[in-house]
Amino acid sequence: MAPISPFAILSAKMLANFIFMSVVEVVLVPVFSVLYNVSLAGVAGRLILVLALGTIGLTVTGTVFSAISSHARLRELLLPLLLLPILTPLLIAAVEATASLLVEDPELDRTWAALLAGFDIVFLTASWLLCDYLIEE
Amino acid sequence: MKNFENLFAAWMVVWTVFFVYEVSIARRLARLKQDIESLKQQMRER
Amino acid sequence: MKARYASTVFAAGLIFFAGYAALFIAPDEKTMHAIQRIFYFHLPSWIAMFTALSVVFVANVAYLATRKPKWDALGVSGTEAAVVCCTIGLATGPLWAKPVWGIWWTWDARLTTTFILWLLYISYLLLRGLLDDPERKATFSAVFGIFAFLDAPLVYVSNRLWRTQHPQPVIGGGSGSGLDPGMGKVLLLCVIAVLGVMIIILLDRYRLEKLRQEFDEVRLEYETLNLEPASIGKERP
Repeated sequence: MAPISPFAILSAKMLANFIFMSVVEVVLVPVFSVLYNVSLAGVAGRLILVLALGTIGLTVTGTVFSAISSHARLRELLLPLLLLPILTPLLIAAVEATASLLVEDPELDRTWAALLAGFDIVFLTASWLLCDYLIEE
Repeated sequence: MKNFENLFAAWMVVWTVFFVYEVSIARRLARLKQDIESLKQQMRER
Repeated sequence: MKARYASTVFAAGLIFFAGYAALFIAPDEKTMHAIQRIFYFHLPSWIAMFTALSVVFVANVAYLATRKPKWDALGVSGTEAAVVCCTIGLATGPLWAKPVWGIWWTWDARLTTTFILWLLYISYLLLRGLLDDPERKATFSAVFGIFAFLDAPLVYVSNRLWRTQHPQPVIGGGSGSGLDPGMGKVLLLCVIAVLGVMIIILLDRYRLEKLRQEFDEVRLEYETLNLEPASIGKERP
């Protein structure tokens, strides 16, 4: 096998997924702000932060769990089955953080933002520590 | 006792769940032991 | 064998005495009266669940470090024990909630995170069922188990970080928390009883898993000797 470190392979996959998701978000967020008549003017920077943190969490867990489920039977069913419970805290935090930015007097809720950041840090660290066991020899 | 039905139901849930699970393990254990014995027996016969 | 029977009898005795204490010895609670006694099953089942999850985490890490099958066996045993305890907690909670809050369930932080934890460890068991190669099964469930355990602390702090329908911590909580000593003694007894039962089902499940590993070895030996698949144990539970 090529002498590339497993973490390099994993992070390459994560980066690719992250870029793909970000492109989708860049397109969708303006569309939704128009559709729902929500002004994003004052909160753009903070919204981008929340979206970035959420996307990182999604791609890290998604990449790791797809590596796990790709070897199983019913892999198309298994991946969402594994992802949904683990992502729920992230999804709730992202929704709540975004909601706090879309009100009259927007202020980024610190608890939810901290949860998002914490989730990312914890899962990135865990992926780095366990990457050797995810990539097939 | 007020709300005795709920208290009793909770009690039953606790011990039923533990009991059913333990019984299911015990049955599988017995069947496995039987399977191992018959396989070993078959190997000895050969 | 003898030790196992003795411990089972001891656990049964402990359960009956703990149940009697919970129902009759523990003092009556001021506002909720009798229904509060569910507390003596409800909290111990969570303590047992978190203990089992810690065992699973240790087993997962140990398997990845040593690759010894016994750690995989301990991992799956702990997970099943934890799911059993979680189920009991999720069932006794609503039974307590309905008379006291008027609702069976609500999606507050504590209940939601706990429900998610329950789903998470059930999907651990599903994952194992869908992976065929034994070594890959053990490795991947160990990795998944470590990720799953990262969710457990969130469940624990959920009713401290957020204001929840679920009560604030009774033990080690903020001001106004704390337990009447009479209740505390009964609680301790019930915790020991439920923990004891959890340990017993965990160890029995561990024996079952070790036996299954032994069966796989014997079957492999049979098939190597005879160059034909064994007819016994084709469909195993």
